[in-house]
Amino acid sequence: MLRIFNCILRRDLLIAYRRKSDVLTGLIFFVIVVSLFPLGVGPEPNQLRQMAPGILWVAALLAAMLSLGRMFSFDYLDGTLEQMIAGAAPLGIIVSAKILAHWLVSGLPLVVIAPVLGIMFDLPGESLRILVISLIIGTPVLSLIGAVGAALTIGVRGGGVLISLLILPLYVPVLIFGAGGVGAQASGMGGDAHLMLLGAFLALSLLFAPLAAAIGLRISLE
Amino acid sequence: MLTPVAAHRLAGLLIRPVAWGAGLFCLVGLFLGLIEPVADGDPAVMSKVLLVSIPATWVSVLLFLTLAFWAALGLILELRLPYLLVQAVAPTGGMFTFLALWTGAIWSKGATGVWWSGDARQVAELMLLFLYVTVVGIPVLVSDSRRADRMMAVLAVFGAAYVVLLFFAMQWWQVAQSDALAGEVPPTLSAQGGIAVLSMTIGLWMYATVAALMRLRQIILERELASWNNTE
Repeated sequence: MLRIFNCILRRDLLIAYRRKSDVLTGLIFFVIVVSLFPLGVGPEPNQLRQMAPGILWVAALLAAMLSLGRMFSFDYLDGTLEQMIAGAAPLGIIVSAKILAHWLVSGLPLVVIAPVLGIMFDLPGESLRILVISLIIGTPVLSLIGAVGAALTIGVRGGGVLISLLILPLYVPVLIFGAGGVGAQASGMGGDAHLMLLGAFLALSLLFAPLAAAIGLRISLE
Repeated sequence: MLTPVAAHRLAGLLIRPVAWGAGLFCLVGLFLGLIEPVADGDPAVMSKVLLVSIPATWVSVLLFLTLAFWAALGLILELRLPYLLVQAVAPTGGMFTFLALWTGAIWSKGATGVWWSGDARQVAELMLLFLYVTVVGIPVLVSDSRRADRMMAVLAVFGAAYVVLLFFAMQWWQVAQSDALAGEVPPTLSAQGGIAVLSMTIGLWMYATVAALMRLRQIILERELASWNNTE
């Protein structure tokens, strides 16, 4: 089973490496969106500092949503997905490997860039630390839940809108606790509780999302 | 499990008595609620909103849980009727969530001075609204009705678990932070107010049942006719 996981992981990473433009699109979108906000709301540092966690998290959400289409669509278009579903390997393992590859390629770069952008908002070091931790815990949840949405909407005509509608309500708790944690840290209450709740979401989605995505794949391709 | 044809007849038989029951319970609830203040210490106008707001919230959540139940049944048993029920209940649930949201906002304005206080109930209702809109929107956007059924069902089951989780997580979060934030204080209902709200809840739930049953009959006619004439 581990061999299947590694095989699919390496394959997806290799494909992503060969299609760098898709990967960079999400990252550049993130950077641009976050950079637009100080221009829009004015340079007043207190206001920027307060808004920063929310802005960074919403931009991460949107960038994650943008990149979700890539998860299954290429394999669907050339028929590999059908082979994966019809094959003997457990679909949950395959989906888990794809989700991990997606996070490594789309989520992890966001986590790396976020502190740099946080400096633009004049976030203090402690807030930056909590922000990065919340993103590290939260972006895998985004990939996991997004996989369920992507699996359900393969090949659908109004795909983009449908994915957004499907996924956004499920993303909101991650946003609330992710951004809230940084805000709580800044106001002195300590963001630990928020981070622990985020961890709970991560644990639950690690358990259920690959399963739900596998079911969604079977439904979409039956 | 019933065939759609039998369900059509059963729904037709149920509509009239349940509709009368709905009218009765709503009238009783409104009467009991409007002659006296519903909650302790609330100005008269604000407390009347609770008569609609609290029942609508409960009904919207209960409808989504019902939706998820039928969706799970449909996914497990692979029958046609549960999927039709999911499609029938969803718009009604959406309307009740919308109602709960803005009556809740009116009450929030009276109690805390702001329309949106961001507490667990309001956020959960907003998320519920988005989920309902998605469930209603799927058959519109996806032309293959079989696939649309299953998408709605998976979303309903997943979404129900998620909303329940979200509500309790947010409630825990707000209790933990209640000394730091000026949160919304839940209303305490007087005895008569409690009976009025309960009566309204039952009445609105019956109304939702009637609306869903009527819509179910319509959906059965549309989809069964389409499959007979092979125009699906």
